[in-house]
Amino acid sequence: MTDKRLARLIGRARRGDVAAFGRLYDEYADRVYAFVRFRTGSAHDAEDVTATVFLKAWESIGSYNERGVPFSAWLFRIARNAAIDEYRKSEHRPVPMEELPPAEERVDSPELRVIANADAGRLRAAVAGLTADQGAVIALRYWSDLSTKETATALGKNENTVKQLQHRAIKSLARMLEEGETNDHD
Amino acid sequence: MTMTDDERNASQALGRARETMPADVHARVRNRVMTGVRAQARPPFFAAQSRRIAAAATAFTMLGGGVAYAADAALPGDALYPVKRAAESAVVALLPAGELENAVLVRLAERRAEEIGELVRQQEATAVDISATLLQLRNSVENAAAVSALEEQELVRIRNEAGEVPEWARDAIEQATTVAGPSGAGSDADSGTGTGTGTGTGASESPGATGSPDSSESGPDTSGSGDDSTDTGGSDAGPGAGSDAGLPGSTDGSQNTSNTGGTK
Repeated sequence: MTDKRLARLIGRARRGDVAAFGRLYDEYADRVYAFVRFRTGSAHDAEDVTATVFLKAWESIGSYNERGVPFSAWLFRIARNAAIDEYRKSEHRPVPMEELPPAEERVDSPELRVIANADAGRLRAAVAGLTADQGAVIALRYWSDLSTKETATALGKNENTVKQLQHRAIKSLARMLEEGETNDHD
Repeated sequence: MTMTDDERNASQALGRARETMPADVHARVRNRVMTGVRAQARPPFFAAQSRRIAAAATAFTMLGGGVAYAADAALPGDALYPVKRAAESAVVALLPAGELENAVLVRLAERRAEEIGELVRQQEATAVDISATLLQLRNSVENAAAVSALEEQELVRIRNEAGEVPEWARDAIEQATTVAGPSGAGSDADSGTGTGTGTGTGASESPGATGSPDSSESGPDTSGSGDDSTDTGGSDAGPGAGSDAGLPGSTDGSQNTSNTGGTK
């Protein structure tokens, strides 16, 4: 969908056009689902949270300012909050905050190759084992197709922090996958 | 610094790990969402409005009925726009004199300003539509002022309905909403039915004179307004999406616009 058409749909939805909002759902539902899925315990919960996200978006779209933040960042901020609410309800683990070291320039190739060679199921399980912030960055960047800037806006962080989180997430994923493989061989 | 093969392969592997929303879940959630959306009566459009404007909204709903609702979001140039205006005229014709009448007339002016803002921002509208709506705005303001003197804050509120617009549009809206005073002549051109107070002389100023848009800045084209109703709207993001998202250290770390061909 072109930016112009998207802006038109958003404008119509802001004025209360239900059909236009339905088109926005069609455009974003898969990506919202992919994002909330990693935070929720089951596919059923992800379904509930996705519905909640769009209902909340409808309730507040009248006050959405298209000149403020990109629509995707605005929508995924709602998604993130809804996912956190759901997460706290099920209370699998605390939501840790991270102390970030200075960003490094590159992830080593061996670590990248571990990720590249992992199958989808293992990777998903590894992402679920990341800290909340790291997992959110990976989900938004790779599964919801947000840019670094949009991801930063959605998470309420600056771009540099998002880059650092992504960097650490990649290293953590490689480590978890390697450990998993070692355990498999034992 | 370009993305290395290892970075690209790792990105693609991460993209493949995305959990896809099954089609039946997509449809089921859509049904839930749209049922909830429809159940909420006119939420965004009249939300957060004052009680007085809410009264005007009620008048529209009661008197305009379902047709007005369907056409409510139409803009000048849209097929349903004449329906919206006709519904407004019907409301105005049936209004008793008094505060409600005044509220509705002010609300009509706000709607014209809002339409101008949307037209200008969407950049799909023709200059003719924008100029005509500016003229209608002026007429609406004069109609409202003819019934009851408009306070400055009401005029400001009308102007604010346009939202953020370029300077030329702001100037044009300011000009269109500047009235000589409560005795200013009202024009019946706006509602079609009039309020019984206008003299029909208010529309003497040409659309261009109210500040027609300079297309070199805003770029309103003449391609007409497309109708999104034909859009199938399906998302084309698939399980392989996100395949070339930037990895840390890659030069495109801030953008991954080519992932899905989706919305960006």
